Amino acid sequence: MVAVVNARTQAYLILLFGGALVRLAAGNALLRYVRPVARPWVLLAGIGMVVLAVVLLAKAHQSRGSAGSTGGSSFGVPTGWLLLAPVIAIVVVAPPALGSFSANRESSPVAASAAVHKDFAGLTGLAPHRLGLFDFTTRVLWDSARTVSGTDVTLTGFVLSQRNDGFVLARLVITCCAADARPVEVFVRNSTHPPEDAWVAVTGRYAGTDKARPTFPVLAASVVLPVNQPVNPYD
Amino acid sequence: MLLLALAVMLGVKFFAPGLLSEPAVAAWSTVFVAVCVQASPYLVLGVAVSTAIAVFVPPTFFQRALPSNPMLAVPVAGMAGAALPGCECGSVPVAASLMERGVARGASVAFLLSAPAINPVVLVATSVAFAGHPAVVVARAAASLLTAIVVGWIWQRLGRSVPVPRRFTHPDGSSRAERARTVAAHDITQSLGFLTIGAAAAATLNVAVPRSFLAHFAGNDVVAIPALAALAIVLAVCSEADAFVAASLTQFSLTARLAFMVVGPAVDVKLIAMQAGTFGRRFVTRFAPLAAVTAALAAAAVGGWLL
Repeated sequence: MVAVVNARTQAYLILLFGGALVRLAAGNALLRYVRPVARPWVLLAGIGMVVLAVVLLAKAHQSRGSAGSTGGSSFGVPTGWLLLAPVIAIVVVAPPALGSFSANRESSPVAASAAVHKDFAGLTGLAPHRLGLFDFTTRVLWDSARTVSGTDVTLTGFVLSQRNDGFVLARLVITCCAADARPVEVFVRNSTHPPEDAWVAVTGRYAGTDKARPTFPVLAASVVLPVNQPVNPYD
Repeated sequence: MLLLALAVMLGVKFFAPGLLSEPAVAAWSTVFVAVCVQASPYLVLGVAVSTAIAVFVPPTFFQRALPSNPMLAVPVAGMAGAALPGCECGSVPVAASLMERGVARGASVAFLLSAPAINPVVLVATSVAFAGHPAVVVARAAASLLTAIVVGWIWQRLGRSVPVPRRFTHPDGSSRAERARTVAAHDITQSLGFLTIGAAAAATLNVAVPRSFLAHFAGNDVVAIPALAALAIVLAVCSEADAFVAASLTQFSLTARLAFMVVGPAVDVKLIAMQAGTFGRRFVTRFAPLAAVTAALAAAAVGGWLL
């Protein structure tokens, strides 16, 4: 195993981690892992680490040869080297957004949010209205004004599973980061069967809720179009 | 071990890219990166605060600010936790700094437990997630504070053998800038390093344990409370998000969901890793079970009373 890191290596490791955060915060890949509101904070954290690393390197350069601090811990794990793991995961592996694998394993958040979404704004502009899956589902379940009834809506999500008379469209909702992702699901009644995990935009009308699962809205779809994964893959 | 996992990951990336499209592997990597990225701003904030304490706050300050009786200092430190707006990752280096500045061990762990649980950001998030049940916010604050105080008292009485963290090789005589650099570099490396281990554990459990499995435990609070307490420990969701996860566990009683929110900020896999790194393994093997059991009991008691 690698020995504990010296001061200079430690500074380089902090630099790499900070740099990876800055790079991530500068692009859209960030949205595969956290919500957009986290962007400035991730950027600040990255910049803070880069600045600290530069100061440490400047000092290490000045006092070349003197003994530095170590990243060793109380039970001999070279913690410093562990910083490489997220750096490589972020920069080299760059894992994709969560999809149907995770959606199949978690329970839906929608039922819980009833009280949060009592007052719904009316839908403005021309139909079809573009709605998030979460917005659509909460409107279906708790909107006394029935704003989604009798009008065309467009929903974007990925195909979670196939059924005889259509497919299940899903989107993951995150509150903080991808670790708390939970799915919202809508049953799309249509004769097309796009492949699992494919992103589609579905236009259609609300057609009641599923008999077996009353929190599960049904959309009678007239158009199903393949689309690219949205920049923010989560709802 | 983690380096080995890394080598495997890199090898996979270049020699068997198909494996990364394996859903479980991809989901693992995504959750791992997500936890690391999400926690890093809080961690940097925590390190900034701990560095400021180590450099600018004279050792005598806390002795004057806190009651001199260590048992009385525990509830005061517990309440003071409300002032650090962050989640649990940030409070570990801050608590380490407090211990080093001579704050009694009981008061320090009370702060460690209360800071991520009762600060305004977390309570506002809880009130949004449980908008129909304002009592949940009160119950969460009360149960978390109770946990912090009880564990703090027990720790003050029985925790004598746990050593103070030993991170500063530089004596107080060295210059402020030098101390600031040493403390910041040390704390950031250590917290991030152990966060990495914790994130790996959380990602593994996230991918390995489907939440739908939990439905079996929902009926009866005697099993539901330990089940959700255990879930909080293995999922390691940030304390600012855990209320939304708890709100989604609708098949469970409010008291069981309260246990999820009270245990999570006190004990979870990433905290265990970070505390083991900061305070030592001896600390965490005693502290984590004590905090988990106390938190679950506090949630059961307060939930039974208020919810």
